[in-house]
Amino acid sequence: MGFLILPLVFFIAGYLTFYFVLSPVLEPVKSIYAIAFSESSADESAESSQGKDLFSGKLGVYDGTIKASEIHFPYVGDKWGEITIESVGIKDLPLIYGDSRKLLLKGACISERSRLPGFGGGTLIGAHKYSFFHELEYVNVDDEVVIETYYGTYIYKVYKTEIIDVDNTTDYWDEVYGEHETETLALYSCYVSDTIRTTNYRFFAFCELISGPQVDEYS
Amino acid sequence: MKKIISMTLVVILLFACAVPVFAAGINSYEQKLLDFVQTGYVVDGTIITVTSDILAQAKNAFNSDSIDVTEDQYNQIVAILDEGLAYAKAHNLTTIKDLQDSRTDTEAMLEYGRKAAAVLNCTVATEGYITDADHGLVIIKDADGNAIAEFHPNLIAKTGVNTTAIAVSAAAAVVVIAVACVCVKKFRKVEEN
Repeated sequence: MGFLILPLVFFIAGYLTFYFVLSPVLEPVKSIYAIAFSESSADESAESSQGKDLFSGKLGVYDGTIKASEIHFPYVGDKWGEITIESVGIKDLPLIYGDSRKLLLKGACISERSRLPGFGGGTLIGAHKYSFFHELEYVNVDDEVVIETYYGTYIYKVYKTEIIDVDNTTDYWDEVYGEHETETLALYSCYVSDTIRTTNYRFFAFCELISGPQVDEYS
Repeated sequence: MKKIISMTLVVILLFACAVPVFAAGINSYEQKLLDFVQTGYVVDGTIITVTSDILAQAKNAFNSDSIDVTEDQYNQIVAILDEGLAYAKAHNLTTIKDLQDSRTDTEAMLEYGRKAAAVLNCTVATEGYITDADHGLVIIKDADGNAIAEFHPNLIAKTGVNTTAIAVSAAAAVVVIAVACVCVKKFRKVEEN
């Protein structure tokens, strides 16, 4: 019996040990594999299982006021627009409402703890570096960012870029939640030096609103 | 002919009246609730108030088509919030860390959240342990199953390596190998004897 039980016990213990050691590394690799080899496009996956596609192309609304009661507010998982940063080759990237781990596989995600463009306040959008925001760290001050939403077009200009340890909330809190003359937009992705390793650092591009319609949520 | 014209007019009027009206927007009772949660409360010498990010999430939730708070719902929710606050004061809960230290308190606060959501015909579900920065998720859905809001402890999506897990796992691997070696040695000794 010793010939059977001992090897079996050590096999199970060894397997479990290696599983827990490798799982922090396996998860980002699985994510990258899913994105690189997925048969469906980012657009299609926005509609699968969770979330509708609210965005049906550019509306050509660049200013004015929209009543909140005249538009449908997105549910978590809905695609609400597309983001373009021409200077670094990011074009028509889907924007998803919510930023859970599952949704971050589908596109650039807005934090529900920030406001949609036009609703007043700051907008916080993040995406994985190795997929959707791979070129974000090459963005420069004065670069233009265009967000097409299902209710209007918003144009921003980058005013600052910074690499921040996410545990230092003071480094980005004011940019998103502080008092500003115009609405702000904070774009972020993981910051690593071309490795597959996950990190505590994020590359942030802070932008100010140049034009776009305002949404009156109190009418 | 007159009947056809009048029927046509009725149909046109019906379509004209069927303008989609969403419940998006913040009504006066929702604004009262937002004002209510911004009131600072003192617990064990610490002032608790809702932070700007949570306030933003609350505003977003109130903009949902599924939520249109009435006066009665406002009164019910305020009563539940008062109960929740009394519990927090009694247990000296001021930060997320306080909840991380006590599963009982976490479940209790979650239950208050469920009661408040139920007033608005919404449900609250969780994924993982809600104070787990990497995996915890609280999901609020309306009666039709649409996810109105999801809440996770981290504001910024975190993908940092959990070095503690690696260190513990590596130590466990060394122990397993060491025990295996000892067992093999003992087994060989028994065989030789």
